[in-house]
Amino acid sequence: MIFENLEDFFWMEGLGPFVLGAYFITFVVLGINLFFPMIREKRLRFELRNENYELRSDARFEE
Amino acid sequence: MLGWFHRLGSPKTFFGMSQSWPKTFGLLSLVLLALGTVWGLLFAPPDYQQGHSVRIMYVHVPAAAVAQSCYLIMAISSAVFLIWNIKLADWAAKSMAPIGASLAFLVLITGAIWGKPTWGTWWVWDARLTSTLVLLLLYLGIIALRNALEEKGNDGRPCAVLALVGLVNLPIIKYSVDWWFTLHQPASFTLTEKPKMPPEMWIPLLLMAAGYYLFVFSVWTSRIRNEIISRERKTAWAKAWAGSQ
Amino acid sequence: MTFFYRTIAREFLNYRRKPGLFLNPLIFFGLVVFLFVVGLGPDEAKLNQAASIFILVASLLSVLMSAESAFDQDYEEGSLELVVVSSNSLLIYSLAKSLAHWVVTFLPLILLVPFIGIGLFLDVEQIWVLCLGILLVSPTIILLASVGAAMTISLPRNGVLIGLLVLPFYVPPLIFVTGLFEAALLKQNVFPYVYWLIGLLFLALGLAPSATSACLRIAAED
Repeated sequence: MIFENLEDFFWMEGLGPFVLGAYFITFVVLGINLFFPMIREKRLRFELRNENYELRSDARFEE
Repeated sequence: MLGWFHRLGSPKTFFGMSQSWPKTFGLLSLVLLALGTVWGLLFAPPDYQQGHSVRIMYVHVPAAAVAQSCYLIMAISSAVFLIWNIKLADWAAKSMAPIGASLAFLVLITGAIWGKPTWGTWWVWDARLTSTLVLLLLYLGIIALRNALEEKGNDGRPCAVLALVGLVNLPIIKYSVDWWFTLHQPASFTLTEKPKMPPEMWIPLLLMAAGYYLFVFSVWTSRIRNEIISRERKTAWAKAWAGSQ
Repeated sequence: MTFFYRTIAREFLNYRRKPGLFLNPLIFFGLVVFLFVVGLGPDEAKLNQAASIFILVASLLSVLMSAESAFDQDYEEGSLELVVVSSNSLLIYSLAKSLAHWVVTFLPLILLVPFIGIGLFLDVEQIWVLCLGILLVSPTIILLASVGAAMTISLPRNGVLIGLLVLPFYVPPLIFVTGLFEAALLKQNVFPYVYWLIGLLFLALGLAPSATSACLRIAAED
C-alpha cells in the first residue's frame, strides 16, 4: 500500500482529481458499453415475445 | 477446417454456441479490471518524474492498444465478409465499430487528463494523440456510412471496403503523423513507459490489458447476438430464445 | 485502351454540357480562399505564411464538392450497370473517370494558383513550390475522393458523408505537402517529401481504383 490514509489517496499530492477522474471516466465509458447491448437485448426479447403473443392470438381468433 | 469455419458463419450455430460468452467473459474481465485498478491505484509505485499521475497509464495505454486491435478485428471481419460473403462477419464488423470508437474516445480523454499535470495543458498535438484522433474519425466515418446504408436498406459491403481502405491507410497515417510531430516539435517528454518497468508496474498493466480485451470480447459477442436476433426474428429458434426466460 | 479514351471523351462532353459541375467547385475554392484572407486580415507577413496551406486545404474541399457528382449521373441513368455487365474493365472505367475529374478540377486550379499567389504576396519561388506540391498531391486526392464517391453512390445527399469518409485519409498527403512547403521555405532538401508524395501517389494509383470499382460493382448489383 502506497498511501497511509484515505485522505492521502484522494489527494495524491495534488494529482488525485486527475487520476481518479481518469479512472472514473474509464468506468463510465465501459459501463455505457455494457449497458447499451443489455437494454437492446431486453427490448428485443420483449418485442419478440409480443410478436409471438400476437401470432398466437391471431391464430386463436381465426379458429 | 473450412467446414468448421462455415458452421461458425451460420447465425444459428453461432447464436447457440455463444450463449454464455457475454456473461462469462464479462465477469472475468470485470474481475481483471478490478484487480488491475486496485493494484494500479493503491500498490503500484509513483513515477520518479510524474509522481502519481503515472497511474493514469493503467487505463490509458491498454485502451490505446485495444482501440487499435478493435480496428484490426473489424477490418478482418470486413475482409471475411467481402471474400466469403458471410453475413455474420458483416454483423461482427458492425458490432465492433461503436466499441472501437468509444475506446478511441476514452484514449483521447484519459490522454488529455494525463497531459494536464505532465505537460501543463489538456491537449498537445502529440503524435500518438493525433493518430488516435484520426482513428476515432475513421470509426465515426464507418459508423456514419453504416447508418446511411441501413437507412436505405443496403448491406454493409461499401462499409467493409472502407474498413479495408482504412486498414491500409492507418500505418501510413501513423508514420506521417510521427514525422509531422518530430518536424514541428522536438521530442520532449513522451508518455511512453520506460524500457525497464518494475514488475509492480507492468503486472497491473498486463491485468488491465487482459481485462480490456475480455471486456471488448464480451460486449462484442453480446452486440453480435443482438444483431442476429433482430435480423432472424422471424425464425423459430429466435422466438424460442425470447420465450426462454 | 479505346474504352479508356471513350470514357474520358464522354466525361468531357458531360462537363461541357454542364459546366456548373466543374465551375461551381472552382468558385467555391475561390470563396474559401477569400474567407481565409478575410479571417486572417490584410497583413502581408501573416498571409504569406499561411497562404500555401489554406490554398491547399481549399482545393481539397472543392474537390470533395465535385467528387459528389462524379458517378451520380452514370448511376442514375444506368450506364454504370452497362459497364459492369460489359466486358470492359471497371478498373479502367474508374481510372478514366479520375483522370477526367483531375483535368477539370486541378488543372484549372493549378493555372489559377499563380494569380492567387500574387494576390497573397507569395514570391515566385513559393508559387513554383505551391504548384509543384499541388501537382504531386492532386492525383492522390482525386483517387481517394473517387473511392469516397463510389462508396456513397447509392445514398441520397451524400456530399457531407463523402467528406466524413475521405478527409481522414487526406492527413498523410497534407502532412507531406506542407512539409515540402516548409522545407522549400527554409531552403532545405525537398526531395524526401517529393519521394514520399510520389510514393503515396503510386500507392493510391494501385489500390484506389480497385476499391472504387469494388464499390461501383456493389452499387450496380444492388
